[in-house]
Amino acid sequence: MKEKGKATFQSYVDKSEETLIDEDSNEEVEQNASKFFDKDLEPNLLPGEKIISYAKSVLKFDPFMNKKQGTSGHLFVTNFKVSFVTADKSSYEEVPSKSAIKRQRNKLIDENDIPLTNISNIYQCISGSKKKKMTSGNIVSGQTKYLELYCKDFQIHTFGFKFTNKEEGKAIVNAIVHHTFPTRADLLFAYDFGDCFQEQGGSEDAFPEYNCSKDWENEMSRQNCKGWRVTDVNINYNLSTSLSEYFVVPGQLLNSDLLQAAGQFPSGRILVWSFSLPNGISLSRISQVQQESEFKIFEVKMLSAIKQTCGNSIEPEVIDLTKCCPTVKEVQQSYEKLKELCMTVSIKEFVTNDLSWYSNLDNTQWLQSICKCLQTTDDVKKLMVNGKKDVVLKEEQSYDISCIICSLVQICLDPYYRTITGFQQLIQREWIALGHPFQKRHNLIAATEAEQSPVFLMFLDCVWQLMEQFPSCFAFTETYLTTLWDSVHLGIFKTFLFDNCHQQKKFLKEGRKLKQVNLPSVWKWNMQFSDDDLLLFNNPLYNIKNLKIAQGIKNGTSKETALVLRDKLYAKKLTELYRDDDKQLFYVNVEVLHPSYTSAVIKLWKQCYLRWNSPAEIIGGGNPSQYLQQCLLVEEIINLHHTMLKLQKKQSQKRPKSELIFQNDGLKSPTFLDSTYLTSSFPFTPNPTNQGQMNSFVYTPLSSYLQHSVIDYDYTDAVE
Amino acid sequence: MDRLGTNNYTEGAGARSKAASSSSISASDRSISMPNESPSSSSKESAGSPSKSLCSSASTSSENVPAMEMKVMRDTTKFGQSDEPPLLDGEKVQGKGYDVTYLCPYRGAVRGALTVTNYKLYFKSSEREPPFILDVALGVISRVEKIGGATSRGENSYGIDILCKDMRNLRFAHKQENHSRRQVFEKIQQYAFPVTNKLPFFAMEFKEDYGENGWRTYDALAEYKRQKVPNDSWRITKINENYELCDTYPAVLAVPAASADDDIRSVAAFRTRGRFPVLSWIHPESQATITRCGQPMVGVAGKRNKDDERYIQMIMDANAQSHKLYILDARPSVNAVANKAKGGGYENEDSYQNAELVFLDIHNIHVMRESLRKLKEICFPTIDEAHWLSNIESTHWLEHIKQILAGAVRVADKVESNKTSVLVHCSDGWDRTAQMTCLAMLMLDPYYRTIKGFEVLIEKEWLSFGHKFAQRVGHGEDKHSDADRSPVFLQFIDCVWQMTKQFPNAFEFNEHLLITIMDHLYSCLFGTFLYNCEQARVKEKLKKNTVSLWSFINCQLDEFKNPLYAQYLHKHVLFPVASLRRIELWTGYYCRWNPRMRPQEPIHLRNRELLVLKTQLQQKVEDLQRELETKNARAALEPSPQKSVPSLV
Repeated sequence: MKEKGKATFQSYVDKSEETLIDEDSNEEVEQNASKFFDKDLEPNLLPGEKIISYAKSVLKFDPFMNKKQGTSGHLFVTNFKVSFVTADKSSYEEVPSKSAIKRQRNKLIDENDIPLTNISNIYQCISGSKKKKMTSGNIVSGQTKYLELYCKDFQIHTFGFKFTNKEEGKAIVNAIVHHTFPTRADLLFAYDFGDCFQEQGGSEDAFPEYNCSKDWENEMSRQNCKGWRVTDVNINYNLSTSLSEYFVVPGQLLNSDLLQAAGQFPSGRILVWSFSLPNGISLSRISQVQQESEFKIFEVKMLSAIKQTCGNSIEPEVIDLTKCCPTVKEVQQSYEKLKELCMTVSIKEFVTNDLSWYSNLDNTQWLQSICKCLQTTDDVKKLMVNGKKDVVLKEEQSYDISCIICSLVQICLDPYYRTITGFQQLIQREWIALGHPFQKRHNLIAATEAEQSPVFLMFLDCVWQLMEQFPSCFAFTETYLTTLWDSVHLGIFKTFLFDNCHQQKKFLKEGRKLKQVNLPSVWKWNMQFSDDDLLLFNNPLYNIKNLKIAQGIKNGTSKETALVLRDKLYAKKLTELYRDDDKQLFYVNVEVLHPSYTSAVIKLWKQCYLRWNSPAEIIGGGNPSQYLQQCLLVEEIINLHHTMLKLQKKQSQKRPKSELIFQNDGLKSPTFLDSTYLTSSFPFTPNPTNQGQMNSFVYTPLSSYLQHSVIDYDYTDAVE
Repeated sequence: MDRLGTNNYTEGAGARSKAASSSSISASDRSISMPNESPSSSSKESAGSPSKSLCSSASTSSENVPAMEMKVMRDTTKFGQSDEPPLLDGEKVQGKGYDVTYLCPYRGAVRGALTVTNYKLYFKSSEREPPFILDVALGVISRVEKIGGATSRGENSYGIDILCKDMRNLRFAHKQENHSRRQVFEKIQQYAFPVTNKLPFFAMEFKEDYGENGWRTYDALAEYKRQKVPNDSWRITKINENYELCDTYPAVLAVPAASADDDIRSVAAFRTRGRFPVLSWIHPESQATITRCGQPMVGVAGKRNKDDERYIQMIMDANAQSHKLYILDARPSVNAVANKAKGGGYENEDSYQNAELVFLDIHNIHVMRESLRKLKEICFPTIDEAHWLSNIESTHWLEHIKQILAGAVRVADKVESNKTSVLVHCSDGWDRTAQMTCLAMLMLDPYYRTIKGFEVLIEKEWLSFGHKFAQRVGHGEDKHSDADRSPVFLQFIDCVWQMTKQFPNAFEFNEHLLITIMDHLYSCLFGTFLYNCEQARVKEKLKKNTVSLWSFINCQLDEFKNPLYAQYLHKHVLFPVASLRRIELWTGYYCRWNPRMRPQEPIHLRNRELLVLKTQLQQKVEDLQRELETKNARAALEPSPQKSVPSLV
């Protein structure tokens, strides 16, 4: 614990804390003041972003160092973020010192930037270890010793104001508190940003938003769904402000039927289609009829209309999600406990909590909730596939847990939703178009306790569990999911800012000054990340399947190649589970996922929740080392395959792209491989805290993966 | 690697079930473990044939069976159609019960025939398709009990209960009127506990030739030579050649070059059971060492021994980099103090100049045994879904694993980071001490992370230094509640598994190797783990009379290889995180009998496929290059301007 920080940091406290206090701090402040006008010491601003307040000589503490090590710099508050700017910026382009550098770089925010929408709690520490939770409307008068910002991405940022001018310190703390918890929607930065933002690229790459009938029709025809129709009954949100203007209903039901029924459902959320199997068995969602008995007739009518869509003689099965899944409130309660467990401020806390880690984790009930969601998913899937029943998911408002289960069932039944495009379309359709209230659930504008709940995170976690269980079935990686969760809290994507399409449309149309504004969609990933970073979204075990190399090397013998064989084995295994049904299985070659949900296989998603916990960080190991080795093997396979084709004089063959990190043409900046170090937190690797005791960690740069590879980096041969 | 082809790949598919079972020899419960999946899907002709559930390789056509295994399985086909078990060389049927019901906790009751041989218990039921087979080495049994009497009513209330050392219990119901129970019970009782019944171990009768001699794996002198010992500061001594100075130490030992044999005799007299400090490992650069010993015989009076103190100083002086020595006492300090009453104790820092004593707080064998007992309770046969994690915590098993790992990290850190030598002991220096030295050596030296290196490590630190395997496991003894039994070695293997989880590409071997070692620790098929120390093994001529487990493993190394192994990435020290946030329950071992615990799509198979594909392509490219060279050589008369072929590794 006595080790000094690495030299790259402007060290100031450490053991010499006392001496620093004795120093004439005015001199330092003056020096800093003059530096302030240096361009480098201002934060980078987005369009529409303005600096609101700043303070000089603020200390940003390294996590887990007992506030004994960190960096000095300026702290800014803008209408978008809290930004810490320091003279000793580290960057991965530079020759690295022995410090692990965060690989993933967001183009919109710098490493020391915290979007205000990412902050969940603010704690002020005046003296000693007493902490005060700051909420909207709190005003600070005294001097703040430390300020702790707890973020929705599970990170904690701690700032110290010991050397800060009193007034400046007070002003900035007040500004942070004030701007973190806006009380009205029009205080959101998105308005300022939307005013200035110009959409790049034409409409040809437009992502379906399911705000027109075409998008729904395309999806229906992709699924070959018959007997249902797109309705325009909700145009101008006549019927429901919570649903999109277009959605899909049983073909039998006329618009007049829908209008008549709408009044009996909360927020007019009548029966809405989600998914159909090729044999017509469907999945749809419905809200809880008000005053059950009296108006049950409307529900009955809708259910019988489902039967007619595919002529199913069996009654649809209505699943009441409130009976088999966690409630919105329970999700929130678990989440609060989970945060308490995973967000650790000090080594001491880390160590004391360690022995009760498992019972504490048990107590959060988070994993049990996931079990329930996966079990319900499996039940629904079985009803549809084995029971040949149409399923209707019922929930009070039908926009929370319904989104989770609906999406998971589709992921299990249709491999399309396991591709990045398909997955994004699924979220856009089930969550955004059908009105999951993101704004309330993530407390973007003064939501009440009861309204807040990370239902979406629970969904992402369920998907992560499926990826763990079926490692080659998803095109994306856990890094993609974690990044998606982080993007929810950036506060500038139209995707995640609103409660429903109606609210979104109004916003985009009117802006703050009755002027049309523009906001980007989160799916434009290249707005946030470089191509190199985006490669980390891709799963090598999935990509290799699509490269069709396995068939290519089939040689004269009767031996089947590994991958072909694998697919056969796997298909076989799936059908075996359906042995009773085997003959009538209506689809072939569709990999249906059968999730496990016993407690012993449900795990904690450590990348997302523990990535900032440096005492738990495995230097040189963890899941990323497996991931990178897989990427390397796939790259080697592609190279060998290409060499083979060249030797066989099949010159016309291009070397296919792996779309993975060691990709041939992905090495334009090989320095990043040298300067990126492998730890279990990769690519979110925080600055190492160098816990004294262990000062001889050997950091492994990513480039060392390539040292003994068979990859032939012959650029003349690269893809054109 | 070259021969890693399609058939091995299917082996891999089977390896999923293999990993979940004893091994392909002691074959085990493949049919329990993989009710639907055990038949090798690749072989059409033999699909449904009874032999296949015995071993996936046995079901494939003979040309695909790796030759070594074939030898073991040669009787399989002969007995394929009947209820007769496939027999190993030297194995004989001893008893049989027809119309016996196996009460499977997961799949319900199945009726079939139960056979007992001098090596195993074999149950087969043709009621199911594929036939249900249970194949358990008798060595794994810790206790057999009769349940119910002649007057027992109710279905399946009369039979035999078998408690196993590998985290499961088996229950067979007999029909009273068949009178089959008595014979089966007696034969199990007789052959499961050969020591109690004054019979030889089956290992003495098993004479398989794997084409490899695993007994050659470890040669003490060669291993010391690899560590560059002898050198200026360390010498090899044969002072214990006849096991007279210390009967639980090996014949060949390394000690400080400065020490004379007379010093050593004096030191041995001052250490528990004569276990004086000897070299385990030396850092190739800094010369910092790990040494091990038993506790000093300090006693209540606080006795001192000048020779011991001088000897410790020699160990310190052998490392020029540091003027300090850490004595890491693996016990909790309370236990160390309590040992004084029995004449033992710990080094007084005042007597041992420049030595710093640290207690590692690892509990004794009794605490560990109790912890495992609780763990079995919560893992078998089913788990309590609602309180799974809290239940794990209540066993304290992972807490002990954490403490052991943390202790070893401490040893490794002192040696690596502080360049300071470390002396490790506990009470006798053969349980916790072996865990500490062995795990620290795995962290410090990449050699031990290879398969051969790992075998050497076990041979050296566990077997040659006298971990009392016979007592701790209770080989062949009908004393299930013996207080000397304890899962010390299992804990070590668990810690290794934790390390492989934390560093997925730092180890040459896979989980299957660890499970295979555990299974044969109990099976008594191989001589490797029999008896308590080298002296006894030499006396029993195990190298001559039995087969080594390493022969079996080394003849099919591909089975045990980790496809993600990247040696070049891990030339250095590994520091695993000793936090419960990173330590998990090894469900692949402790819960393996429960089919619901198995991975849906095992990632190790996917990884293996990648490697197989790469290897196939490499082979193909090499063939093509050779072809091209031959062609070019023929056309050598007119020099061709052809572009040179890219070189490949």
